[in-house]
Amino acid sequence: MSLGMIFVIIGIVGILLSILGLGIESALFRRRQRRLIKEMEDE
Amino acid sequence: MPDFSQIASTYTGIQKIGEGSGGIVYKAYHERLKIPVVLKEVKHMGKTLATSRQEVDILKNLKHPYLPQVYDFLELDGSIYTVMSFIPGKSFQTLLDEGQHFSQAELIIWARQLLSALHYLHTQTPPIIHSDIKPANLMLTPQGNICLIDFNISFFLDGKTLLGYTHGYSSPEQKRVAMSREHKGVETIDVKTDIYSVGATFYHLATGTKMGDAGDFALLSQCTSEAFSRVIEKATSKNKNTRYASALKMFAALGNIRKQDQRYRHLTSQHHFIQTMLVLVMAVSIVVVGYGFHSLQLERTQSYNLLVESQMTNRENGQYDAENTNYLQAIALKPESIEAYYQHACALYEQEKYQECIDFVNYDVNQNEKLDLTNPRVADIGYIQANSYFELGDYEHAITAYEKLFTIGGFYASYYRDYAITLAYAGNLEKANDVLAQAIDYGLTDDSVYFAKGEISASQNMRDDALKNFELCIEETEDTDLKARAYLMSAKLYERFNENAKIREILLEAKDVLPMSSQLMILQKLIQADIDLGDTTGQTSYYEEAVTLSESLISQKWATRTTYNNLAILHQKLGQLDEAEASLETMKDLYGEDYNLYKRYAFIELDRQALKENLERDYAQFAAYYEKAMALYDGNNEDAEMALLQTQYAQVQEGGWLS
Repeated sequence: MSLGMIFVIIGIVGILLSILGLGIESALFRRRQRRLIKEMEDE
Repeated sequence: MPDFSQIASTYTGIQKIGEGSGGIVYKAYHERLKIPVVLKEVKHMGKTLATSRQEVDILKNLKHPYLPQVYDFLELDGSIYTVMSFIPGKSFQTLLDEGQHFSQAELIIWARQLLSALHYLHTQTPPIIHSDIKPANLMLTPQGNICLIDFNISFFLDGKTLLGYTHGYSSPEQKRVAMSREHKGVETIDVKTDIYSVGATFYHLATGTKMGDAGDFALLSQCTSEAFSRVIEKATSKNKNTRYASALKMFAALGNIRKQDQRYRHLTSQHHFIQTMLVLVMAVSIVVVGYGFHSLQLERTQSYNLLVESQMTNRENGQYDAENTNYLQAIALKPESIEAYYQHACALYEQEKYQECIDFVNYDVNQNEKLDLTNPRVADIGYIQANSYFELGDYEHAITAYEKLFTIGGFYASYYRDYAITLAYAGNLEKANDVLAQAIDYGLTDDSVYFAKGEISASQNMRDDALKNFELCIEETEDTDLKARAYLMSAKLYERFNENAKIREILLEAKDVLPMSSQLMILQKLIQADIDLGDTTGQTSYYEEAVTLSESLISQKWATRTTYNNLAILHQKLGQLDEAEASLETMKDLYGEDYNLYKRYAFIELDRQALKENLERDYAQFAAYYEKAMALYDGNNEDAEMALLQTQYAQVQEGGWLS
């Protein structure tokens, strides 16, 4: 496999992982946010 | 109680339900609207009836979910009444008196409802300032929403008229203005007085105690949150310039109150950090992908260049099968690049596959959508096509091809030179000379001019003139290709006049003068000349020389099927039948079977049997070769040797040599 192809694969994996990471992070943030707001309301 | 008999037809069941700062409040039933309403006395405080009516007219136009709807204006016994919708529920003052406590979430919702109503009032023209916001004037409806009531002191049209203030809720400036009513014009109040009252009211609702002159914001923080306390503190600032500039700004501040919490801020900053990191990873990945594609492109270009280089080397070495393989690999890799097409066109031309070359340029190049046909290199390919037409004697198409390549950009003097030659062969001598003059203007060198003049003379069968110009060209030029062309043209001219000895002579000179790399066509022509001389003179020395030259071609790896075929013929002519068969074997291994191979075998076999005594002759092998040749021969290609072979086969059969 050529060096260029290796870079392309690494880059695509990086993009996919960062998209996945952004999705997961957003979902986790929303969950934590809801929990915190509820906690703040309870207070 | 006033005399309501004059309005009894419209309002029924009138009963007093309270007495506010503005006046007495009655509840009644509106017979036409079929809804309960409130009749509220308006203390005129010296205002004229007209002014009061004007104020009520303004209120009638107000429509907001958190404000009561004003329906009408009445004047009874010298008193003025406003008719407005009845708001069910309890006032917040009542709720406070009952000892109710409210959560921060509830307070934020109600405060934002109140501020939206205030924003509506403040953005009227002219702005309406309520100026008496307090728990007693805020109703909590059964639906859980607030309603701002009691507009008695909100009739503030000129920025100066003020009816009063409420201790603990009114802003300091409102208090000052109210206290110094006799000094009107000294100070005015604006929308910020309502902002202060909202702050003071919600301070009371949150802590259960009136704010008084200075609030205890530490207590408020304990009851609610630090963020909520900060909003109230800002709203109730003594200096009105440091308060929220509008109800809308305080509304927004309350909307963002959660975001001001320490934990919330920590959570969001953590979220933003992770997001930023992930976006950075994405950005780096995009750069890596871009770099990868760039590298792939470079690798592709490098591979393509290597293939084209190899294609060119194979072409120059006469290795046309390898050249064809390189060409196919190159166009599969970069079909949009022109160079491989150019090399392949050259290869076809050099193999004298002129029609194939023309078709290749027409279909594979000119109709190739992937190629940029404005590329000047296309003109070079067009030049090869034009030369192919020329070689086939199709001068009209050659001229068209030249004219087309000049539109693309093939402005080389040599192209104009060959165009002039083609025009001369097409019979257009006048234009040929014009184009040659144009070529000279473009910088055509003397050697090329001699060559062109030679060709033009040759086209007119002016033998001596043509030979003289070719000779001058050979003497003048340093360009080995042009020199080779001049020698070949001289040979062709001799051929036209059947001067075989002269052909050999000029080609032998070319062989001595030209470098080996430019000798391919010279050697091929020389072999043919030797065969022809051998045939005409019967001197075997010519055949022997042709054998040597053919072996030279083979050693240079320039040999083609024709080379081996000629070598077999030459050996046969020299009586070297084993060597002739060996050449055919090599030809069979390299190029496969065809009718010509077996035809040649058959002739050799005939010679071999002819050398034997009659009794020892066996024509079985000859018959086998003959049958194979006939099976592969399609008959369309009229081959005189095949006709001869058929005759000889018939003679063998008639002679009874075949059992």
